Amino acid sequence: MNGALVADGLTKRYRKTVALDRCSFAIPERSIVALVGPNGAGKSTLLHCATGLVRPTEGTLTVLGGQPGDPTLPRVGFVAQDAPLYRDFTADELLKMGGKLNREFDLPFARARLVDVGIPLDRPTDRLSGGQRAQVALCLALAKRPRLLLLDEPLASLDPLARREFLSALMDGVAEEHMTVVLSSHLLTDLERVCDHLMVLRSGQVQTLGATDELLAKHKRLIGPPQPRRPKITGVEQIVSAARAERQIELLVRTNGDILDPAWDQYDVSLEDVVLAYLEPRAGEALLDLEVAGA
Amino acid sequence: MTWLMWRQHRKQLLFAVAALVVFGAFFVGTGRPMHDRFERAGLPGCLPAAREAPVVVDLGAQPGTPGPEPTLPEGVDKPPEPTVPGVDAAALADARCVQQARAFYGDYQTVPFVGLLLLVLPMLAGMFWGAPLVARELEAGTHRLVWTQGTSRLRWATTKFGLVTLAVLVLTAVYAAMLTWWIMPVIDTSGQRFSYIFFDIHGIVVFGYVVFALALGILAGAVTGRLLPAMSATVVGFIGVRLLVMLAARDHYMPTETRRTPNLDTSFATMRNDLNGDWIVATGAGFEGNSGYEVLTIHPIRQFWTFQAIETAIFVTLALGLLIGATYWTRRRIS
Repeated sequence: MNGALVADGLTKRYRKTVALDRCSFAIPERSIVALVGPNGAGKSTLLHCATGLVRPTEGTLTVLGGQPGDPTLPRVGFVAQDAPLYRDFTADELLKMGGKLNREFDLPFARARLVDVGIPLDRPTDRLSGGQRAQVALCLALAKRPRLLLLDEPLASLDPLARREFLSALMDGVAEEHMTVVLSSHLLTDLERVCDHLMVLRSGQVQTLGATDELLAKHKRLIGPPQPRRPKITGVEQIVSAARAERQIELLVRTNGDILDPAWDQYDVSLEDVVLAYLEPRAGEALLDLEVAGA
Repeated sequence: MTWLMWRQHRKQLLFAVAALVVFGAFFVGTGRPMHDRFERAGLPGCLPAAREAPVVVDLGAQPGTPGPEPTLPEGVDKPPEPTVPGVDAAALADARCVQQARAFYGDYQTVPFVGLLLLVLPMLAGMFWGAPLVARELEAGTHRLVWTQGTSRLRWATTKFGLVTLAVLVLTAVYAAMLTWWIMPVIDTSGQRFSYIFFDIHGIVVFGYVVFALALGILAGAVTGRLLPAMSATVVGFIGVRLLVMLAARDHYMPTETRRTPNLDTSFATMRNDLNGDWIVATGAGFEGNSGYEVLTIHPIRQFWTFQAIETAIFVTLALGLLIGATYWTRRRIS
C-alpha cells in the first residue's frame, strides 16, 4: 500500500490497556485527515507511533515510505498535545532552537509568519496566550517544511476565536505545500471545515477511513417499519447504527449499491452523523440482536 | 545543539559559579589566617622530616622543658632552643615539630566538621544537575518537542549528558583545587589523611563521586520520569553506594603491611609518631624487658594515591555504566 502513513496490524499494548488494536490503514498523500475519536481511543498513541516517540508492540507503521523516528523525523512536523514549549524561551529562541536541531529549517519564513499573526518574538512563551503558544508550536513544525504534519488535539485548549485563527494559519501554511496533514480531535466540528479525509478511531481500532465526499455519498439514513429480525436490505454493506422509535426503526448504513427497497425511506447524512454512528459502541447491533431474540 | 544546552542550563551554571564564588570566599577568608599560622609555626619546613620519625620524644613528659612555644610576632627573633639532656638535636626538632602540629590541629578542630558538610556536596550535583536533566523534560512534556525535531534522540542524549558532565567536571576541578589548598595544613598536622572525612573530601576521589552522583541522577530521572522520585533515588543510591564502598571495599584495595615500632623507651617517654598518616587497621603490643613495642597493621601513607586512584576508578566506572544506561533508557523510553 502506498501513502503518507501506512499501518499494517499496528498494535500498541501498555501494561493493562490496549491503545491500538491491529490497525491497518493507508492515509493517502496530500490529504488533510481529521482523526476523530473519543478520549482514550488511541489517537495520541497513533501519532506518537508515527514520530517514533512510541514503539509499536506489534505490526508496522510506515511513515513517508520509511521507519518512524530518526530516519523520517526531518520530514515530519509534529505538534504534541497542549503544544509543549520551553516556557522560559522566547518565540525567537524557540525558532533558533528549531534552526539548530533541523538540517532544513526556514527561519526567515518562520519569523515572518509569527510577526504576521502578531506574536511578540521577544517574550517568554509562558507569557503568551494559549492561542499564541499554539501558533508558535505550529510555526516551529511548519518551518521544517515537512511532508507530513501531525497535530495532536491542536484545538483542544483554544477558545473559538483562537481556533479559527489557528486553522486559517494552518491552511495558509499548507496551501502551497504538497503536504499531508493529520489533525486529531475528539470533536469533528472543529475540523470539518478544513479536512478532506476522515478517520474514525474507537477503542484502538479504525472504524472508517475515507475521503469525506465519498463517505457522505456512501452512508445513508434509512427509516422503515420495525423489523422482526435483523433486516437484510439489498445495497447495504453494513448497518453502522440503529435506533428504534415507536413505530419505526432508523438505521445508519454503509451502502455498496443503490437501495431500491420501497419499504425504506432514504435520507442523506452529515459527516457528524457518520462519526457519531461509528462512535456508538455498537448499540445498533445490540438493539437489533435484541429484537431477533424477542421474535 | 550546544546552543540549546547553554540556553537551557545557563541559569544553573550561573548558580553553580555563584556557589563556587561563595565557597572561594569562605576558603580564602578562613584559609589565609590558617596558612599564616601554619607558616609562622615553621610547619612547612619541619613536617616532612618529622613525619618520617618512627617515634618521637614526648616533650610533655620531660621535666623542665617548656610547653608549646608561643607563636611569635613577625620580625622577632626566636629565643635559643632549650636542650633536653640525652636527646639529640634532630630528635628534639622532630619532637618540637610534632608538638607544634598537635597544637595547630587542636586549634582547627572545627575543620573536620566543615568536612562533614562537604561530604554531601557531590550528591547535590546529582540532585540538582543530574535528576532534572531528563525528568524535567518528561514532566513538562517538552520531550515531545525536542525529540521530534530533526536531531536523533541518541545525539540529544549524548550531547546533553556529555556537556553537563564536562561542565560539572570543570566546576569540580576548581572546587577541589580550592578545597585542597584550604585543608592541606589541617590534614598534614592531623596524621589522618586516610580518615573517612579527609580521604573523601580531597584529592581525585571528589571527581569520581561527582560524576557518579550526576550519572545516578540522570538515570533516575530518565527511568522515573519524575523529578522528586529521581532526586530521592539519587540521595538513597549515592549514600548507599558510598557507604558500601567506604566501609566494605576500601580496606581491601591493597594488602595490609605490618610495622613494628622501635622499642618505646620508657626512660625518655618516647611515643609512637602518629603524624605520618598511615592508615592503622589494627594494633598489637609486645614487651621486651623494660620497654614495649607495638605491632601495627597498616596501609602505609605512600599508597595514599593508589587508594585514591582505585576509589576514583570504581566510581568513574559506575558512572559510565549509569550514563550508558541513561542513554539507552532515553532512546527506548516510552512516552
